[in-house]
Amino acid sequence: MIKGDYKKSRIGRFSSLTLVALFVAGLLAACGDNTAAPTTGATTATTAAAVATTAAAGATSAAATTAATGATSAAATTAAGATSAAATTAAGATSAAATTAAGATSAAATTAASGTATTAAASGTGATLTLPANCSNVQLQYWNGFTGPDGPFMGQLVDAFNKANSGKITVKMTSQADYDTQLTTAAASDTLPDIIIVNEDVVASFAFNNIIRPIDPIVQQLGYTASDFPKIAWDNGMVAGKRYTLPLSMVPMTMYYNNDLLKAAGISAAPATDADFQKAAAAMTKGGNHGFEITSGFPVQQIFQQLLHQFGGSEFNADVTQATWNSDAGVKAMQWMLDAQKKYAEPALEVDADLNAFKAGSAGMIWNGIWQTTNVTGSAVSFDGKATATPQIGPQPGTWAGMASLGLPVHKKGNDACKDAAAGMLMKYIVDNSLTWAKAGNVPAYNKVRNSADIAALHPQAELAKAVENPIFPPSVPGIGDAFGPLSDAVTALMTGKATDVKKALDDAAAKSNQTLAANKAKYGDAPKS
Amino acid sequence: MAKTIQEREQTGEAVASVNTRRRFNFTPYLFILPHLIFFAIFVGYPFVSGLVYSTFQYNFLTPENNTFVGLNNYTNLFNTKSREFDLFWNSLGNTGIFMLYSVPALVIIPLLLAVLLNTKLPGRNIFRAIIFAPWVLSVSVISLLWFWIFQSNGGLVNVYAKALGIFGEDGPPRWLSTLPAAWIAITVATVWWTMGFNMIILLAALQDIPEQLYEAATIDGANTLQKFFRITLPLLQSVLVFVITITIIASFNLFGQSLFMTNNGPSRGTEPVMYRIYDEGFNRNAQGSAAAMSFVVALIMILVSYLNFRIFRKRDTSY
Amino acid sequence: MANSVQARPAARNSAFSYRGRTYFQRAILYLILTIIAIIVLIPMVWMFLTSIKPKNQLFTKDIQWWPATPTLDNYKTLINNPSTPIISWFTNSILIALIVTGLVLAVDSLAAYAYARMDFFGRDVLFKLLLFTLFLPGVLFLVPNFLIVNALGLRNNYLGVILPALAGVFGVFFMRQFFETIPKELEEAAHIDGANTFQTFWSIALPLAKPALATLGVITFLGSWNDFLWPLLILQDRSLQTLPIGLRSLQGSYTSEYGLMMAGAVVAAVPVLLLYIVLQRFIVASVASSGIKG
Repeated sequence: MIKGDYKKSRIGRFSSLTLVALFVAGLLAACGDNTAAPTTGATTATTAAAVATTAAAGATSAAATTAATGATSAAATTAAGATSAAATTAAGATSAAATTAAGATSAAATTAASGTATTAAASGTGATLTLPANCSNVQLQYWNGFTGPDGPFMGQLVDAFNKANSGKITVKMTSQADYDTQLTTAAASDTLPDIIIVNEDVVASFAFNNIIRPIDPIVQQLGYTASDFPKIAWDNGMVAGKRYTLPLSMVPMTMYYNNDLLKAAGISAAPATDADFQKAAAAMTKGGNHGFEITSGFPVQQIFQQLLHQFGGSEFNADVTQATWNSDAGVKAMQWMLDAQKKYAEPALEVDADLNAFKAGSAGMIWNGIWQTTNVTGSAVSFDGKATATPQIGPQPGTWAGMASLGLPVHKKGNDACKDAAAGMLMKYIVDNSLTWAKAGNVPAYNKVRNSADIAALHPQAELAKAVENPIFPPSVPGIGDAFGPLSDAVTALMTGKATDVKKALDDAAAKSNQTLAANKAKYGDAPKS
Repeated sequence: MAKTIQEREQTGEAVASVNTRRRFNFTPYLFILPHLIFFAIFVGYPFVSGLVYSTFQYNFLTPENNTFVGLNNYTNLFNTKSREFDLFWNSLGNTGIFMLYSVPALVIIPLLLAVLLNTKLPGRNIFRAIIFAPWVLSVSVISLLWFWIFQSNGGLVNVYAKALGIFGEDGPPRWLSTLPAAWIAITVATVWWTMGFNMIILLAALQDIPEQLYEAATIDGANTLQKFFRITLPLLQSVLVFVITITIIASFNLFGQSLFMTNNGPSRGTEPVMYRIYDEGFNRNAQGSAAAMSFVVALIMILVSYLNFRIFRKRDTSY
Repeated sequence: MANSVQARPAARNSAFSYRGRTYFQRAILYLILTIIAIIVLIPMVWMFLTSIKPKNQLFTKDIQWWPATPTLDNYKTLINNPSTPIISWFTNSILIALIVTGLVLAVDSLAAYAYARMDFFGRDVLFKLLLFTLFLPGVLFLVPNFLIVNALGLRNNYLGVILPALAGVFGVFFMRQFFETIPKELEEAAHIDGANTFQTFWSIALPLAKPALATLGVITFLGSWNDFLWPLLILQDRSLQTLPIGLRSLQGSYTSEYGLMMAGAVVAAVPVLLLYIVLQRFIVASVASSGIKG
């Protein structure tokens, strides 16, 4: 390329020297990264110790209003009946707690002891979590991915919380686009916020990748138990026997229908069964209108999952080593979708095209997430747009839903007891007041709120409250999103006509997914290692 | 372009004679040092550390679990049974397809525009400004804009295509959810977005071609096309190589347009290799595998660039 | 200054030159150019019209160019929402692009001058090494550079975006090509008059290189202005982010807020477009005389 007059010997010596130097530097750096491990190991211990402190303080204020710091150590000691090590940690109320636990070799013993203390305190005194007495003006960073019209609803809750705790806690909420990337990169640089929203499909991945940490003591302290949430929602937060997240809200698959078109077709109520659905769709498919529109992009894979379960299938086997969507149920589900598309819909629609057709008034029914409610009903459209539960097509009930949970991120430098307590309080506040949040277009996970009269007055939340009691969720294993990738590709290929053999497409996708499941298993092992 | 080797050797000697007065001259190193420092930190070192990462099962979020796997990350890319095989080669193929669509369009269209605008017509600056204008928009904006223009219901393209009956009975294709229509949509968006840049460079080169050449040709009875192929193109050769090279590099970096317009679909049909590596690195947290992919891509890229130079610069030795 | 760079043919010509054309030919040329300009402009006009449409008029069965009830709601929402600090994003983008451009011009022209004009041990090897990396895809450096910037503590800091941009080799390559076209005699004369190398560079070579600097400046500025992936990985705080990333967040996680997004695009584009229109005569002239010679 270049004609130069250099001497060859020179280049040889120079470039090899440079390369060797750079290579050594690179090696050193890589090794440095590898040996930097122990710091993270101590993090869990720190968390537990910190929580123990808050828990004890909570117990104190519940029992009596004496000077907190003194009483704290007493409470912890009596409750645990513990070694002097545990007492020391708990008594070192300020930031000392964190340092002690992180440095100590007896960290494990301390954790165990303080864990017991928490449980005892929680069940003994009736659960409340308050700010430890030595905390003042706690600044809390709260991240979520609510960049759409839902953000302001969460903002309202945060503002109200700040007002209720003014002078003590200030929460700053940040809604980020490309949310998972932001969390990953922030985790890499140890700049994660103090509390975050976690979606149902990444709980395990985040746990295994040191993005979120176990919060069993805090959740116990807050007083929530399995009976407060739908079982699947509650279990979604458990990874390898530990609790990482607390369920907040669910976003089920929803049917939107153009009531004007429906009425014009002589049908009075939204269909709830397959037969009624077919009838309504057929009746509305005329004059350039389509009775039912279905996309080939998001959320078509979720629609497939929903039908798969309704026909009695599931995505994976029990221990999540094999994809099982290529079952008879899977073929039936896919065939139903293709038939519906052929009979009523336009072929190969891209993402959002179903919605846009609906908004333009030319689609009778569409299935999309509940998050579209404000977009396609009420004043957002120039016709009578309505939302309700999706009809049951197969023999079994089943509704796909997403879920937002609350979790506490990992801080490699150690956690702040004050912030953890404040984050716990915020968690409780948001979950207990999730009615406000539900108005953004979701169904509260917390039974008490979901079954309240207020929700019964909200639509379509009221219609969908039943559906989310047994929602279709991905298994809580790390990297499950990647294992769904081939399914999404196959469903799209079938819906766009790129693939025509349903069984073969689902088989191929399952085979690919099995490779990913095996690779994930090898990569992550059975439990988070820190 | 004007320099020949002989001239350059002469100038080289001249410089040498200035500089050899002193034994060892630090000045040149002071000149290159600022750049060299950044180059070493952000190009040299990453190159080497990337090589190291590529031999590990590397996850920067759980550094304690990183294990040395030798060439495993590379052999995975060539093992048809591995998880990565299909994903990687599919995405690399897609980037190749995009280059086939976009590079010719991004050379020919700007060239024609430059020729048209290389005039003293009043108002030419307004035309230039208009053509250059899309380049100031962000990729996220242009992608959403063109997504909307190409969408099947209510998109500008389909509404007018249907009205004019351009695609006949079957109607227009699904620009965003079928192939190869999705590539056309992505290419159109990219060309619209970046053609002004190439046009400006070509325009600059056109303005350096002496008028006398065209006058002489006119006297010899050459027509417009002949002048274009006999004078304009040959004299633009080196600038064209430059434009082709930077366009290839830019096309290789396709990322935002496909992500935001087609979500890399249908079925990963427009997923570019850049996204695959980003996904491995920052979504799957498999930075070792991502690094291995990067190096395989780099090798191919170097090969392509080399061939490009061999093909286009056969007779040109002044470089 | 009569040298080969500045002395250009007095008239600009091509196969489509203006002089000697008939009115008919000129009219045809205008017609073609106008059609092209309209095609290029349509999406931008559409962008603007979308930004002033109320939500229920975004999607209609037939194309509706001008909304029945135009509204500035999207702009109001955008400006009034404290969680979308579009003004900060804009200033961040401008600031980062300007600093990157200034530093790239300084660092690269210094290095390029040395590679073009000086003879020193290792020069050709180094330059070959630089040229080699020009052809490496940027993605190669994505993960390692992220880890370096992280280790240097520059994440969530403008410097984390700015400094890696200075490592680019395109500018060095580009400026070197230009410096080589400058006749030696001027610099030699300066040397004989007692100027040191830096003085020669500063007072002779650099002024002559203004057009090339302007070209490189435009390329660098817009490259930085449009960069998406790297700032996404580096800038964490909403108030530190740049426009391409900020505008993304006007879209919901599930829903597309077309009107808002387009309003954001208009707000972001208009100042730069105005700047371009003001400077464009200068930019085109500079690019024209920079003599990009491949």
